[in-house]
Amino acid sequence: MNLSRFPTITNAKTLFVEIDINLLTSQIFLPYDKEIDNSLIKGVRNEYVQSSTGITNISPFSYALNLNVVFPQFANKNIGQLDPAISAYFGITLVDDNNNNILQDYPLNGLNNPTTGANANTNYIRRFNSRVNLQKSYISLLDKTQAGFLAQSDVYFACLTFYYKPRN
Amino acid sequence: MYGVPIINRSLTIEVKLTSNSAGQTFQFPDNQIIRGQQVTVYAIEAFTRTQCTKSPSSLDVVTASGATGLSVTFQDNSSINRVYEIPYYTLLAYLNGGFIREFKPFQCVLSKSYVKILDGTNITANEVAFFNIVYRAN
Repeated sequence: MNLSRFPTITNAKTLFVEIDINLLTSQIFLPYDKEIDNSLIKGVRNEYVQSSTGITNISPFSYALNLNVVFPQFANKNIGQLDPAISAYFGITLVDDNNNNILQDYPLNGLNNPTTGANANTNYIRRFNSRVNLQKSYISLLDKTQAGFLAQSDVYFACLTFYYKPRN
Repeated sequence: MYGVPIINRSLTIEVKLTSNSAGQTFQFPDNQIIRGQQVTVYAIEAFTRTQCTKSPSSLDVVTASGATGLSVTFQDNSSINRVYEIPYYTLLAYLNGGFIREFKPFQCVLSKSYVKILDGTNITANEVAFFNIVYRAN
């Protein structure tokens, strides 16, 4: 039995959630992914995303930047930096097949690494054991006072890694 | 599981601190899911403004410095204090290695549970203490 801070990885996949805030939208539903949608979710983690125009650097397993990802479709857009300060404006709701909330308006930063003080290098992954209905799950803007500010940047990305076990 | 429980279901709940007077207590709002007899709570996490600037009801979350002036009490359905005035700081996962405090599963009576201000120096009236309560259906 795995009693660690990490789920045993059977499969893992990262979803990039485009957070394009405008003054009319405060909920961003997660993109559909057939494989994740049909699987038992064992863990979810949000990665710190640092970016510059057209290029986003993503750190899968630590605060250091280990992976560069280019989004050519946004090459001409300004990509905002979804760092812990910006993530603090958002909550995430994960819903299972029976419409129960696995997470409900849970701070997006709760799925990150602790990034401050003595715990800066501590790693964990929030663990689950449920199916997640991606089409009913969403990231929401909790701090609506920031809507105007966020709307000025073209697009932000949340980088959600799902650890899952495919259904047989 | 050690500090990272498998989250079956959870919900966030906020306690509005209507003043910053030391010694004042603020009860949790009732919640029909947690109140249900078929639900047991087995982990609780708290947050500060560092992690989440606003609560779902658009109120300011207490700051990290303000959080050190709060304590929390949770009571079960036998009117027994499962935790009695422990520091709010203890429930902050991000300042405690990412670990979520786990409990022997209990039926939590929110209307008898409360947040108490021990030191209101860094707390402003109408901020909220913000929690995530992890539970499962029996």
